[in-house]
Amino acid sequence: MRRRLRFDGRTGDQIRGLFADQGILNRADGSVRFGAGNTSVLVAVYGPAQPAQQKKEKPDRAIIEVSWRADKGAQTSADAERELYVRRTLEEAVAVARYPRSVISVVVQVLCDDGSVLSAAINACAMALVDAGVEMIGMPVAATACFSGSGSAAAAAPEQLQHLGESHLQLDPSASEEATTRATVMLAVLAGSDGILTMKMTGQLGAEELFAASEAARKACDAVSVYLRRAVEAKVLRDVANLQ
Amino acid sequence: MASTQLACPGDRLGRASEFTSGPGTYTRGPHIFASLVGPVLQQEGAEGGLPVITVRGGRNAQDQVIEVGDVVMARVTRVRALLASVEILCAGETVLREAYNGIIKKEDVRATEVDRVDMGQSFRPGDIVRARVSSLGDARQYYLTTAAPDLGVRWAKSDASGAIMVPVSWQEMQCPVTGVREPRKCARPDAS
Repeated sequence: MRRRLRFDGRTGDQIRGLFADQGILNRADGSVRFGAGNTSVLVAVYGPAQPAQQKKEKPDRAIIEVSWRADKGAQTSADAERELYVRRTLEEAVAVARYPRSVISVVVQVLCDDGSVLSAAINACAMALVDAGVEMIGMPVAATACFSGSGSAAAAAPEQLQHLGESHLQLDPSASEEATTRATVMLAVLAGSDGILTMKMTGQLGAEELFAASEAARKACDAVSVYLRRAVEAKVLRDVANLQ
Repeated sequence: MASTQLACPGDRLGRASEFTSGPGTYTRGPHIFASLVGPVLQQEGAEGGLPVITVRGGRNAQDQVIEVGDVVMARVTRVRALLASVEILCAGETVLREAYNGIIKKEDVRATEVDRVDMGQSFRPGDIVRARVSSLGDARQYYLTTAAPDLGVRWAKSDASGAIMVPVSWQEMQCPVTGVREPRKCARPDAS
């Protein structure tokens, strides 16, 4: 069967090319400009530091504050929701017990939103936290999958779902694909582990489709984690070489 | 354990029964995992204990955390009858990115005759003191103590001339320009 190509030439199981510039902000403790295809975000990490308000402080762990700044316009409730997803994900990944009475501030500035921006932001946060030297339990990685086209959820036959290239399952959707999708699944995991940190679903989809989408997203997470790992290791080696 | 390999957070480094978890690592269940990106190092354990496995991150945010028992350098900001307020500038070898607040209470200035301490004769605003964190304190100020011979004022400017004074005893500093002596609770100078 012919593999169905998307508008940009990708098959359903391909993610877009990734790039990362680490440590680009001088004043932030950690920073990265990270992108997937045309989607790019700039993340800055400040801390751990004393909270400005003492009532926010927790005696046994750090609190993580996330600020999501959209590329255009004032902050909307969708941005506040993304802050919540990012914060909950990072709270599981960061070793918060190591930094009692502190706040770790994460600022996500969307530079260009061409789809899958929440998963891009989570990946960027992982790299910025590494850049800041914040200890983590593991590297959080995220990926998005969506179902293109219309049609009811029940109509998707199970055998179709196994051949990702032929089904309507699309990994790392761009903005135009997200606009016409009937369901999206964003998955965040700790690289190398079996569990799930965060799953965000929108739209309508059946149980089989959900499992297929999360399996596909997990494979994408594996690919992203390979990239993240190489990028952070390369930076460490570069820094060591620069010091010598 | 190969030390040329770089570890990433979440990488399994060894068994907790064979190694001790050092900086940059954590223990979960029977294994030790990395929590930073960096080379994996193995060091001798203390006193016949298990070898310590650590990950040396280029920048470790843990350095910015103050714990009880740490020796810190602080600048005196206010001197009152019962306490002196300081801002903590350095924790050990690390310069802190953001200063923390601390206080030295009258009874923590020195070890002897604590009820006869005169705060104005122990510290002045602007002095740099070496102190030890005695408790995490309250409402965002750490409690510090200078009640030891190696703790106290390390650097102070003379009122008379503005020159940096030299300690002459644990209770006095002298201006090298005018010879005027001023009372301070001095730290013993490091033997060099």
